[in-house]
Amino acid sequence: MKFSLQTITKRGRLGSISEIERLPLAAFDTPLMLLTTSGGTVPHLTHETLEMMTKKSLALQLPLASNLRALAATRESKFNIAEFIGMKESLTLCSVNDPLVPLPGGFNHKNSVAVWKKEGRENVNEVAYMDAMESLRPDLYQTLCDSETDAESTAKRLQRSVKSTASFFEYCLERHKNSKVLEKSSILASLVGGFCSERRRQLTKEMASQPVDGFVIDGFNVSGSKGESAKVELVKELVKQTIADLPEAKLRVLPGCWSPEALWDLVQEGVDVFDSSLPTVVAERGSALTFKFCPKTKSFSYNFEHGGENDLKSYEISLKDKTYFDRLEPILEGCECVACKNHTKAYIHHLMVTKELLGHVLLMLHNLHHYQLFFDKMREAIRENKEETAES
Amino acid sequence: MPAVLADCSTSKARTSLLTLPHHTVETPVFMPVGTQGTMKGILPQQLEKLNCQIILGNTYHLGTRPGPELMAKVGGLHKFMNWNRALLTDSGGFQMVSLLKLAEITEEGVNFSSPFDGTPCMLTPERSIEIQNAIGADIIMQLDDVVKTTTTGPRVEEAMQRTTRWLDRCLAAHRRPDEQNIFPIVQGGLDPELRQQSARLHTEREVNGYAVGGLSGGESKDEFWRAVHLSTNILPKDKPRYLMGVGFALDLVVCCALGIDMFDCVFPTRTARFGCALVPSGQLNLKQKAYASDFLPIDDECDCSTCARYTRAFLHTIVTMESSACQLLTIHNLSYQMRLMRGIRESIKEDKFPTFIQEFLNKLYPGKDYPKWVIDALSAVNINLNESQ
Repeated sequence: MKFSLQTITKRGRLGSISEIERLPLAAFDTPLMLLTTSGGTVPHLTHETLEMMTKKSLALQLPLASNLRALAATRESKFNIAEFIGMKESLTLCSVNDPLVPLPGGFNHKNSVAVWKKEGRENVNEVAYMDAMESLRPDLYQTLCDSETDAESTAKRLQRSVKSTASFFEYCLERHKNSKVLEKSSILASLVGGFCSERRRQLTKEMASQPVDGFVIDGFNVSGSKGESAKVELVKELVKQTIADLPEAKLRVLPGCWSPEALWDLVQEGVDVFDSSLPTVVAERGSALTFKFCPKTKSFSYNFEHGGENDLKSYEISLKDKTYFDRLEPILEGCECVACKNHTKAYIHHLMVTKELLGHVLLMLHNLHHYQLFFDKMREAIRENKEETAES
Repeated sequence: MPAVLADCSTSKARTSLLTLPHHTVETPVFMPVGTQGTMKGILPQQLEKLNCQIILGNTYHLGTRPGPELMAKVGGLHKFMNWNRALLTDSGGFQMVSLLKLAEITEEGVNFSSPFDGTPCMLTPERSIEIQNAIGADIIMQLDDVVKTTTTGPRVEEAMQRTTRWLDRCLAAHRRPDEQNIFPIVQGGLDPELRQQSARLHTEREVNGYAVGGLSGGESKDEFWRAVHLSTNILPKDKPRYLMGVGFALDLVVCCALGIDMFDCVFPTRTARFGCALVPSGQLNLKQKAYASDFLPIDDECDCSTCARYTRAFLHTIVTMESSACQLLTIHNLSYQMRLMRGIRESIKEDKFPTFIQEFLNKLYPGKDYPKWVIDALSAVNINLNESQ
């Protein structure tokens, strides 16, 4: 993998991921949205419906939890995970945690990490983890980490997290260097430390000079609804500090279910790669993303259609809401997605009320399209930043 | 209404073009069931790609949610769900009787208590047509008095006679005869006399097609095919014949030979949700461990988007776990049904339908242990399996 930076501004950077061994012709612009998968599928979608959403190459985030089911098959076959899940044209990045589901917490041991599958918990140590990576052969993967830490974690817990993660790293890197099957895969060092700036700095400094292809800033416990309500100001400071200690040329990944506003803040700090857990989680609860982001003014605007009687976020409307019973306009005027071009709010409301599968299919198609557009606009905003800086 | 393209020179099978307000349908046709104005997670564009020509909506469900008022306001189900091809709606009567406890049938209609608030409601032939007029399907069904196929005695005759009386009330209540075709339903249980009488009574009415109802409900296969055979013998040759609730591949092939043109069934889409894939040799239950290391597509001769990309081993890891798996199997199963029907139509056009049946059965029964009812039904229309081996 090659990561090339094209534009660096004080408010974010533009780059490109290319020369993936398996996909010589593909290039992915950063800031990049990875499509978060569950069991190897983008929830509610298939290759055919994803193709209706975009003709661009896709980059997939494969949380280890939902890939455990694929392990046996990839181990005993010639297929890597991208081929096994029927997405061989897509980039694959394996992550330790699943950003769609909040971590229950308290199940990581000193020498192993709890991985949550639909069937229950499985604890994975560094050996089993690297065995898994050798079976799955993703294009990129992060080193095993103990990342179920948050603002409430004790100093002792944070210390253990940093210590285990450093020790996992040592093993993972050594295995990676000597592994023939992982020759074509890129390795990303995991950075943890919860909300403690000293712990984070300690590990980041240790990792910054390591021979890895990039970094995953983890350990904020921001999966699912926890991400949407995370203390962004604190996260921003910690990310800023972490990035200051990292080499500029290397890729920075920040998984988690961030609000769009938090995401833009983190882009401005210089993060390159995120995931699609927010649009997915929003679709799961029957909502569509309707916020707007203006690349010129770099500001957000919102569509408050149905009061504040429920705990909806500013960036969504709930298609479960009765007001949409007979509304014959699309979710978002002017939106070019499959759902908005072909269907009304009234129809999607009907699908929600009757719990029909197509409702979530349409909301996913809209939300992912909308979020992809948001990433396009953020890149545009960074480009504008550059021009402004050049002019002044 | 239908233009016959070809008749099978051996059996009663035929292939026709059925011109409906929204689409010209090639028969014999299988109509997938999209109960609540949607086909199990599949987009209308995908259904078109699968060559689905006509799909079903259920009047009972759509009449309850979103209700006929909204249907009328949006301009019908076609616009509501954005489906531009043909639609058929049932009368709602079958759901009343099968889904609801405490449904009581009187001469006036079906009395039932609302599943939402328990208030007494009445579905009359007039009300059924009023709702179906609002939904706006190309083909609408009369309200019929359905009795269990296993019912015997005077109730069967009463239901048969009442079905014809209700047919006349439906025809009188129909407000959009230029845009929607009412099909009467032949009833009469398994009694040959009653079924023939029902078919004769209905052929006296001026309609554009007929349905054979009250079958596929627990009767023996022997009784089933004989009732179909009897009905198609009486129903006019120049009108489409629709056999309600039938969708197993074997039944489709045999009933096409008996002269049926249209079928509907929830089976292919329902079984998909349980992880079952339809193949020429029967079905694969992808949950079974045997598929964990099977890297073939569901059916290597299938041209659907699922078989083009996904292996049995991968599907094994996601069936009944991920909603995407349901869509992948639904696509495949619908593709299987559509391909089967296309094969039937093409073989009739080439006048090779008996050969098609023989090849179809060879794949399903490699040991040639054909069920007796299949041998009997086919020999009743001059297709002799034993001879052609």
